[in-house]
Amino acid sequence: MAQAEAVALESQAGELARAAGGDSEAFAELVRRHQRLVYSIAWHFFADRAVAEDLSQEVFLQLFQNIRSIETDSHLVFWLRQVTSRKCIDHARWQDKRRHPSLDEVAEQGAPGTPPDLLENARLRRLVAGLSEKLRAVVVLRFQEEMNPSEIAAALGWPVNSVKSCLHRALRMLRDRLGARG
Amino acid sequence: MDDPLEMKLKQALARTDPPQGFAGRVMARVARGEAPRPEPWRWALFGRLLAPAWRTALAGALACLLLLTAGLAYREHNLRLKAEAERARAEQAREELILALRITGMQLNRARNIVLRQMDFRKQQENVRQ
Repeated sequence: MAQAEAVALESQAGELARAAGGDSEAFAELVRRHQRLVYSIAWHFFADRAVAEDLSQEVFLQLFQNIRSIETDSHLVFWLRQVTSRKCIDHARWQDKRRHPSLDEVAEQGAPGTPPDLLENARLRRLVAGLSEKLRAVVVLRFQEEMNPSEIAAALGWPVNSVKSCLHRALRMLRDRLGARG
Repeated sequence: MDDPLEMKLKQALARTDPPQGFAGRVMARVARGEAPRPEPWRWALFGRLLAPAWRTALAGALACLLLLTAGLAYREHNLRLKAEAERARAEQAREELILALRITGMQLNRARNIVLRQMDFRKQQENVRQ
Protein backbone atom coordinates (compact mmCIF):
# COMPACT_ATOMS: atom_id res chain seq x y z
CA MET A 1 0.00 0.00 0.00
CA ALA A 2 2.82 2.35 0.96
CA GLN A 3 4.63 1.45 -2.24
CA ALA A 4 1.51 2.12 -4.28
CA GLU A 5 1.16 5.51 -2.60
CA ALA A 6 4.80 6.32 -3.34
CA VAL A 7 4.30 5.39 -6.99
CA ALA A 8 1.16 7.54 -7.18
CA LEU A 9 2.97 10.51 -5.62
CA GLU A 10 5.81 10.16 -8.08
CA SER A 11 3.36 10.01 -10.94
CA GLN A 12 1.64 13.17 -9.72
CA ALA A 13 4.95 14.98 -9.43
CA GLY A 14 5.83 13.94 -12.96
CA GLU A 15 2.45 15.07 -14.21
CA LEU A 16 2.95 18.48 -12.58
CA ALA A 17 6.36 18.83 -14.14
CA ARG A 18 5.02 17.89 -17.58
CA ALA A 19 2.13 20.32 -17.24
CA ALA A 20 4.61 23.06 -16.28
CA GLY A 21 6.58 22.15 -19.37
CA GLY A 22 3.55 22.83 -21.59
CA ASP A 23 2.09 19.32 -21.89
CA SER A 24 -1.64 20.02 -22.31
CA GLU A 25 -2.67 16.41 -21.68
CA ALA A 26 -0.81 16.51 -18.34
CA PHE A 27 -2.58 19.76 -17.49
CA ALA A 28 -5.95 18.23 -18.46
CA GLU A 29 -5.19 15.35 -16.09
CA LEU A 30 -4.49 17.88 -13.31
CA VAL A 31 -7.85 19.50 -14.00
CA ARG A 32 -9.63 16.14 -13.86
CA ARG A 33 -7.85 15.23 -10.63
CA HIS A 34 -8.67 18.48 -8.81
CA GLN A 35 -11.95 19.57 -10.36
CA ARG A 36 -14.03 18.16 -7.49
CA LEU A 37 -12.07 20.18 -4.94
CA VAL A 38 -12.39 23.45 -6.83
CA TYR A 39 -15.95 23.04 -8.02
CA SER A 40 -17.19 21.92 -4.59
CA ILE A 41 -15.78 24.98 -2.84
CA ALA A 42 -17.54 27.26 -5.31
CA TRP A 43 -20.75 25.21 -5.29
CA HIS A 44 -21.00 25.16 -1.49
CA PHE A 45 -20.24 28.87 -1.46
CA PHE A 46 -23.02 29.90 -3.80
CA ALA A 47 -25.40 26.91 -4.20
CA ASP A 48 -25.49 27.99 -7.84
CA ARG A 49 -24.07 25.59 -10.45
CA ALA A 50 -23.60 28.23 -13.13
CA VAL A 51 -21.64 30.53 -10.84
CA ALA A 52 -19.70 27.58 -9.41
CA GLU A 53 -18.68 26.37 -12.87
CA ASP A 54 -17.74 29.85 -14.03
CA LEU A 55 -15.53 30.50 -11.02
CA SER A 56 -14.02 27.01 -11.19
CA GLN A 57 -13.06 27.51 -14.80
CA GLU A 58 -11.47 30.85 -13.88
CA VAL A 59 -9.40 29.09 -11.23
CA PHE A 60 -8.02 26.58 -13.72
CA LEU A 61 -7.30 29.28 -16.29
CA GLN A 62 -5.32 31.08 -13.60
CA LEU A 63 -3.59 27.82 -12.73
CA PHE A 64 -2.56 27.40 -16.37
CA GLN A 65 -0.95 30.84 -16.27
CA ASN A 66 0.87 30.14 -13.01
CA ILE A 67 1.67 26.42 -13.34
CA ARG A 68 5.43 27.02 -13.45
CA SER A 69 5.36 28.53 -9.96
CA ILE A 70 3.75 25.39 -8.46
CA GLU A 71 6.43 23.22 -6.92
CA THR A 72 4.70 20.13 -5.50
CA ASP A 73 1.31 18.49 -5.48
CA SER A 74 0.62 19.68 -1.91
CA HIS A 75 1.55 23.21 -3.02
CA LEU A 76 -0.93 22.80 -5.86
CA VAL A 77 -3.72 21.79 -3.48
CA PHE A 78 -2.92 24.74 -1.21
CA TRP A 79 -2.89 27.09 -4.21
CA LEU A 80 -6.22 25.79 -5.54
CA ARG A 81 -7.93 26.14 -2.16
CA GLN A 82 -6.51 29.65 -1.70
CA VAL A 83 -7.36 30.98 -5.16
CA THR A 84 -10.81 29.38 -5.26
CA SER A 85 -11.71 30.81 -1.83
CA ARG A 86 -10.52 34.28 -2.81
CA LYS A 87 -12.46 34.24 -6.06
CA CYS A 88 -15.58 33.12 -4.20
CA ILE A 89 -15.17 35.85 -1.58
CA ASP A 90 -14.64 38.51 -4.25
CA HIS A 91 -17.56 37.33 -6.31
CA ALA A 92 -19.81 37.26 -3.23
CA ARG A 93 -18.82 40.85 -2.36
CA TRP A 94 -19.61 42.17 -5.81
CA GLN A 95 -22.71 40.11 -6.32
CA ASP A 96 -26.13 41.71 -5.96
CA LYS A 97 -27.01 41.04 -2.33
CA ARG A 98 -30.71 40.80 -3.09
CA ARG A 99 -30.23 38.19 -5.72
CA HIS A 100 -33.02 35.85 -6.57
CA PRO A 101 -32.56 32.21 -5.52
CA SER A 102 -31.06 30.12 -8.29
CA LEU A 103 -32.95 27.23 -9.86
CA ASP A 104 -30.50 24.92 -8.12
CA GLU A 105 -31.60 26.22 -4.75
CA VAL A 106 -35.25 25.76 -5.63
CA ALA A 107 -34.58 22.25 -7.00
CA GLU A 108 -32.66 21.37 -3.87
CA GLN A 109 -35.74 21.90 -1.79
CA GLY A 110 -36.60 18.43 -2.96
CA ALA A 111 -39.40 16.64 -4.72
CA PRO A 112 -41.91 14.71 -2.61
CA GLY A 113 -40.39 11.45 -1.41
CA THR A 114 -36.83 12.77 -1.17
CA PRO A 115 -35.02 11.01 1.71
CA PRO A 116 -34.77 13.15 4.87
CA ASP A 117 -30.94 12.99 4.88
CA LEU A 118 -30.74 14.56 1.47
CA LEU A 119 -33.25 17.20 2.47
CA GLU A 120 -31.26 18.02 5.59
CA ASN A 121 -28.04 18.23 3.60
CA ALA A 122 -29.69 20.56 1.11
CA ARG A 123 -31.04 22.69 3.95
CA LEU A 124 -27.61 22.94 5.57
CA ARG A 125 -26.02 23.90 2.25
CA ARG A 126 -28.60 26.65 1.80
CA LEU A 127 -27.93 27.94 5.31
CA VAL A 128 -24.19 27.95 4.66
CA ALA A 129 -24.71 29.79 1.37
CA GLY A 130 -26.69 32.39 3.35
CA LEU A 131 -23.78 33.24 5.65
CA SER A 132 -21.55 36.27 5.04
CA GLU A 133 -18.70 35.57 2.65
CA LYS A 134 -16.04 35.41 5.37
CA LEU A 135 -18.00 32.92 7.46
CA ARG A 136 -18.85 30.88 4.38
CA ALA A 137 -15.20 30.61 3.37
CA VAL A 138 -14.18 29.37 6.81
CA VAL A 139 -17.03 26.85 7.06
CA VAL A 140 -16.43 25.41 3.59
CA LEU A 141 -12.69 25.07 4.08
CA ARG A 142 -13.17 23.56 7.55
CA PHE A 143 -15.85 21.01 6.74
CA GLN A 144 -15.36 20.26 3.05
CA GLU A 145 -11.55 20.33 3.00
CA GLU A 146 -11.11 19.37 6.68
CA MET A 147 -8.54 22.11 7.15
CA ASN A 148 -7.68 23.25 10.67
CA PRO A 149 -7.84 26.96 11.62
CA SER A 150 -4.07 27.48 11.06
CA GLU A 151 -4.28 26.04 7.56
CA ILE A 152 -7.36 28.15 6.79
CA ALA A 153 -5.59 31.25 8.10
CA ALA A 154 -2.58 30.52 5.86
CA ALA A 155 -4.79 29.98 2.82
CA LEU A 156 -6.84 33.14 3.31
CA GLY A 157 -4.07 35.32 4.69
CA TRP A 158 -6.01 36.04 7.90
CA PRO A 159 -4.93 35.88 11.55
CA VAL A 160 -5.65 32.51 13.17
CA ASN A 161 -7.80 34.13 15.85
CA SER A 162 -10.01 35.73 13.18
CA VAL A 163 -10.53 32.31 11.61
CA LYS A 164 -11.45 30.77 14.97
CA SER A 165 -13.81 33.63 15.71
CA CYS A 166 -15.49 33.29 12.30
CA LEU A 167 -15.89 29.55 12.78
CA HIS A 168 -17.40 29.99 16.21
CA ARG A 169 -19.83 32.63 14.97
CA ALA A 170 -20.80 30.60 11.91
CA LEU A 171 -21.57 27.49 13.95
CA ARG A 172 -23.61 29.54 16.42
CA MET A 173 -25.60 31.14 13.60
CA LEU A 174 -26.20 27.81 11.89
CA ARG A 175 -27.36 26.26 15.17
CA ASP A 176 -29.73 29.20 15.76
CA ARG A 177 -31.15 29.00 12.26
CA LEU A 178 -31.55 25.23 12.40
CA GLY A 179 -33.22 25.56 15.78
CA ALA A 180 -35.51 28.37 14.62
CA ARG A 181 -36.73 26.41 11.63
CA GLY A 182 -37.24 23.31 13.82
CA MET B 1 -15.37 16.48 15.21
CA ASP B 2 -17.85 14.87 17.64
CA ASP B 3 -20.40 17.67 17.52
CA PRO B 4 -23.57 16.53 15.65
CA LEU B 5 -23.83 19.78 13.70
CA GLU B 6 -20.19 19.53 12.62
CA MET B 7 -20.69 15.95 11.47
CA LYS B 8 -23.77 16.99 9.51
CA LEU B 9 -21.83 19.85 7.95
CA LYS B 10 -19.05 17.48 6.93
CA GLN B 11 -21.63 15.28 5.24
CA ALA B 12 -23.54 18.15 3.61
CA LEU B 13 -20.36 19.80 2.36
CA ALA B 14 -18.69 16.69 0.96
CA ARG B 15 -16.98 17.20 -2.36
CA THR B 16 -19.18 16.79 -5.38
CA ASP B 17 -18.57 16.31 -9.10
CA PRO B 18 -18.86 19.24 -11.46
CA PRO B 19 -21.26 19.00 -14.39
CA GLN B 20 -20.20 16.52 -17.07
CA GLY B 21 -17.61 17.75 -19.52
CA PHE B 22 -16.16 20.32 -17.12
CA ALA B 23 -12.52 19.45 -17.82
CA GLY B 24 -13.17 19.55 -21.57
CA ARG B 25 -14.66 23.03 -21.31
CA VAL B 26 -11.66 24.23 -19.31
CA MET B 27 -9.21 22.80 -21.86
CA ALA B 28 -11.18 24.37 -24.71
CA ARG B 29 -10.72 27.78 -23.08
CA VAL B 30 -7.04 27.04 -22.48
CA ALA B 31 -6.65 26.05 -26.15
CA ARG B 32 -8.28 29.34 -27.21
CA GLY B 33 -5.67 31.16 -25.14
CA GLU B 34 -8.25 32.68 -22.82
CA ALA B 35 -6.94 34.45 -19.76
CA PRO B 36 -8.72 34.55 -16.40
CA ARG B 37 -10.46 37.76 -15.35
CA PRO B 38 -7.99 40.06 -13.56
CA GLU B 39 -7.93 39.80 -9.77
CA PRO B 40 -9.11 42.80 -7.79
CA TRP B 41 -6.10 45.00 -7.04
CA ARG B 42 -6.34 44.38 -3.34
CA TRP B 43 -5.59 40.63 -3.60
CA ALA B 44 -2.64 41.35 -5.88
CA LEU B 45 -1.33 43.93 -3.46
CA PHE B 46 -2.14 42.01 -0.28
CA GLY B 47 -0.88 38.80 -1.79
CA ARG B 48 2.46 40.44 -2.51
CA LEU B 49 2.56 42.14 0.86
CA LEU B 50 1.76 38.91 2.67
CA ALA B 51 4.28 36.80 0.74
CA PRO B 52 7.08 35.83 3.16
CA ALA B 53 9.77 37.91 1.44
CA TRP B 54 7.54 40.93 1.34
CA ARG B 55 6.45 40.45 4.96
CA THR B 56 10.07 40.49 6.05
CA ALA B 57 10.85 43.50 3.88
CA LEU B 58 7.78 45.35 5.16
CA ALA B 59 8.60 44.55 8.77
CA GLY B 60 12.17 45.75 8.21
CA ALA B 61 10.98 48.94 6.54
CA LEU B 62 8.57 49.67 9.39
CA ALA B 63 11.31 49.03 11.95
CA CYS B 64 13.65 51.43 10.12
CA LEU B 65 10.92 54.04 9.92
CA LEU B 66 10.26 53.75 13.65
CA LEU B 67 13.97 54.04 14.45
CA LEU B 68 14.33 57.03 12.15
CA THR B 69 11.33 58.76 13.70
CA ALA B 70 12.61 58.08 17.21
CA GLY B 71 16.08 59.32 16.24
CA LEU B 72 14.73 62.51 14.71
CA ALA B 73 12.53 63.17 17.75
CA TYR B 74 15.52 62.68 20.08
CA ARG B 75 17.67 65.01 17.98
CA GLU B 76 14.90 67.62 17.90
CA HIS B 77 14.60 67.42 21.69
CA ASN B 78 18.36 67.86 22.14
CA LEU B 79 18.46 70.83 19.79
CA ARG B 80 15.61 72.44 21.70
CA LEU B 81 17.38 71.95 25.02
CA LYS B 82 20.57 73.45 23.56
CA ALA B 83 18.73 76.45 22.18
CA GLU B 84 17.05 77.06 25.53
CA ALA B 85 20.42 76.89 27.33
CA GLU B 86 21.87 79.36 24.82
CA ARG B 87 18.97 81.73 25.36
CA ALA B 88 19.39 81.53 29.13
CA ARG B 89 23.14 82.28 28.84
CA ALA B 90 22.50 85.18 26.49
CA GLU B 91 19.88 86.61 28.87
CA GLN B 92 22.29 86.38 31.77
CA ALA B 93 25.08 88.09 29.81
CA ARG B 94 22.69 90.88 28.83
CA GLU B 95 21.70 91.49 32.44
CA GLU B 96 25.35 91.50 33.53
CA LEU B 97 26.17 94.02 30.82
CA ILE B 98 23.30 96.28 31.83
CA LEU B 99 24.45 96.12 35.46
CA ALA B 100 28.02 96.87 34.45
CA LEU B 101 26.87 99.82 32.37
CA ARG B 102 24.71 101.05 35.21
CA ILE B 103 27.61 100.83 37.65
CA THR B 104 29.92 102.50 35.19
CA GLY B 105 27.35 105.19 34.60
CA MET B 106 26.97 105.80 38.32
CA GLN B 107 30.68 105.99 38.77
CA LEU B 108 31.01 108.39 35.88
CA ASN B 109 28.28 110.57 37.32
CA ARG B 110 29.95 110.60 40.71
CA ALA B 111 33.28 111.56 39.16
CA ARG B 112 31.58 114.27 37.10
CA ASN B 113 29.90 115.68 40.17
CA ILE B 114 33.19 115.77 42.06
CA VAL B 115 34.84 117.61 39.17
CA LEU B 116 31.97 120.08 38.90
CA ARG B 117 32.02 120.76 42.63
CA GLN B 118 35.75 121.41 42.51
CA MET B 119 35.33 123.79 39.55
CA ASP B 120 32.60 125.65 41.42
CA PHE B 121 34.80 125.89 44.50
CA ARG B 122 37.73 127.34 42.49
CA LYS B 123 35.46 129.89 40.84
CA GLN B 124 34.13 131.00 44.19
CA GLN B 125 37.70 131.39 45.53
CA GLU B 126 38.72 133.50 42.50
CA ASN B 127 35.70 135.72 43.00
CA VAL B 128 36.61 136.25 46.63
CA ARG B 129 40.22 137.27 45.75
CA GLN B 130 38.96 139.79 43.25
